[in-house]
Amino acid sequence: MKLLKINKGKPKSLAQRIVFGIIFLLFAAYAASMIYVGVFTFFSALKTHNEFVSKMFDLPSEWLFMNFVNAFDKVTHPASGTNMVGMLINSVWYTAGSTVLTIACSTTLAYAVSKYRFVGRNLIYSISLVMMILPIVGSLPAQYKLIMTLGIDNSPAILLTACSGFGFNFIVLYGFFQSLSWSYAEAAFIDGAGHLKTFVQVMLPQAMPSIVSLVILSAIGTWNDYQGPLLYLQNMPTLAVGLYEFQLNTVYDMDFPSLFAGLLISVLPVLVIFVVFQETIMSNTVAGGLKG
Amino acid sequence: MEEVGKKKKHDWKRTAFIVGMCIVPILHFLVFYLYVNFDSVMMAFRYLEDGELVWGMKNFKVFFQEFVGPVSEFRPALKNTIIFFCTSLFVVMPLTLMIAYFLYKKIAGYKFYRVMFFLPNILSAVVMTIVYARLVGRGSPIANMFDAPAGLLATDRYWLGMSYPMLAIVVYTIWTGFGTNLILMSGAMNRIPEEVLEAARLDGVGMVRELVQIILPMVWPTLTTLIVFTFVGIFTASGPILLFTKGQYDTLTISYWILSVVMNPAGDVRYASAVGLVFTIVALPIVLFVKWGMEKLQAATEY
Repeated sequence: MKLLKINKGKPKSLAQRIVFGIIFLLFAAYAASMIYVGVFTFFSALKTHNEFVSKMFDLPSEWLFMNFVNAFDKVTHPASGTNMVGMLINSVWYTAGSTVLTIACSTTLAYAVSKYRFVGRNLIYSISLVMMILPIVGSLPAQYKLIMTLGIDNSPAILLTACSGFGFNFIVLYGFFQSLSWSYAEAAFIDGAGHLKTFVQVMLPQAMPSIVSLVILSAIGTWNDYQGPLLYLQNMPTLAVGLYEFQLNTVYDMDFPSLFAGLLISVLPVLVIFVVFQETIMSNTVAGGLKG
Repeated sequence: MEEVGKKKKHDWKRTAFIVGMCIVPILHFLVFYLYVNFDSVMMAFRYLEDGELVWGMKNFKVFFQEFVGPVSEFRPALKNTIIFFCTSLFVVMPLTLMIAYFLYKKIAGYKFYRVMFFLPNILSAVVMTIVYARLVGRGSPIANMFDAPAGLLATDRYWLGMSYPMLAIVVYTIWTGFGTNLILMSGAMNRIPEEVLEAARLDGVGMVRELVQIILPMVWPTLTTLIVFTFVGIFTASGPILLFTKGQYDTLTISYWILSVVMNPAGDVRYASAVGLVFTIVALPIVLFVKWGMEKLQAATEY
């Protein structure tokens, strides 16, 4: 029983055992609440509408798995008429595009700033630090105005807003590249490789664990983001926005089972990715001090 | 660990490489950060008069008059924002520290619990809020417990000066609030050298002293970062108000108010910019003071 080996082999006092016991029960209660969310959603998705309304907290009398198939058609975004197939497509390009651009921009900037001496490199680092601690409250109206002026709303051009290299991802990757020895690059230069080739083929592969964990956290965040798409992709709703507006606009006669089936379908990709990359995320996400 | 020495002749390939690597993020920064924030300040000082945009302080005057006026929507919004901020600073943060400690001590099933505590971060807030709204909504056991027939999110009754909907959202933010900070805190604890704790254990140090006198000082830089970030969000702190109540039933917050102005085609975005600017200016010294103070404390506890 590996799990029971607490406190690294040292026997615990009675008081410690009691504390650990109580905390264990509290943790179990928390885990139960999370599992309940999943079970509630799953059972609700399998019921008929009437059954959901009359017996919300009971088991489904009949397990209607067809609800999951039907949800793709029944869950529609009220304003644009997009069904869940459309929402899924929007979520995929929005998430993939934003994530690739954000991480690519952070990575190239972090590499150049940490490994090359040029005018303004310290400024870029300082700006990144300052940006993270500036408590800006109300730039949303100006951002909205700019995006409307540029006319990049309701189109994949909105991904331009994702090309950000400054900020948290930059700081993490900067820290990583700082600690990566330059002698790998020097060896590559001696072999006749150029700057770009050295970056892509020699340095980048070593940063992969950090990059992968940032990609996954960023992808999960974008997939679940509802405020950005709600403001800027009104005619191209993602799953988060589509499901939100579906339940908002049909409160009185809502098809609850389809809603819950849709919700489950929308979290499935994220859950799968998280389970697969769990260890990478947990062991590669670190933040030290904020000293600049 | 970077390139050293300069060649005498200008290396155009090198310059092109650096420019290529930096140009997109720098342009993005100039347009979507620098210009946006500059324009945000400009907007705050402009207002419509007889259909024409003019410069002046009117937005600020209106805001201050409304803030101190008899019926202000900002006073309750500020109060709610502070409630959310205090919840994350005084409830979620200490709980996160405690949870991280017990996970670090490898409590039975810690790997499973680590995933459970992170789960709200990967499940979309849209999903979590819809399910949560059912759990505390009309006819649910929890709503019945509070004797709220219409559900906790749709009643105006009060509990310790907080309306039930506000209470329900605060509880939601605690319930779903551990994730990211927990990962960062756990990461910091796992980097504590094993020998340090081993030595303390041989000296017979108890659990409380181990946590307060050994682990806390060693994760202080991470804790500082997390606390500073919490203060950075002091006036943007908010539960998912849009997903729950859209600011009804005494749940308005400052950030939701700004969002609602932007989403309303007739909303006065210049006025919203001015309000945002006021709160930014109030928050800035607070953040700097907290950052300075935490780093002072860190210097005092340096090991």
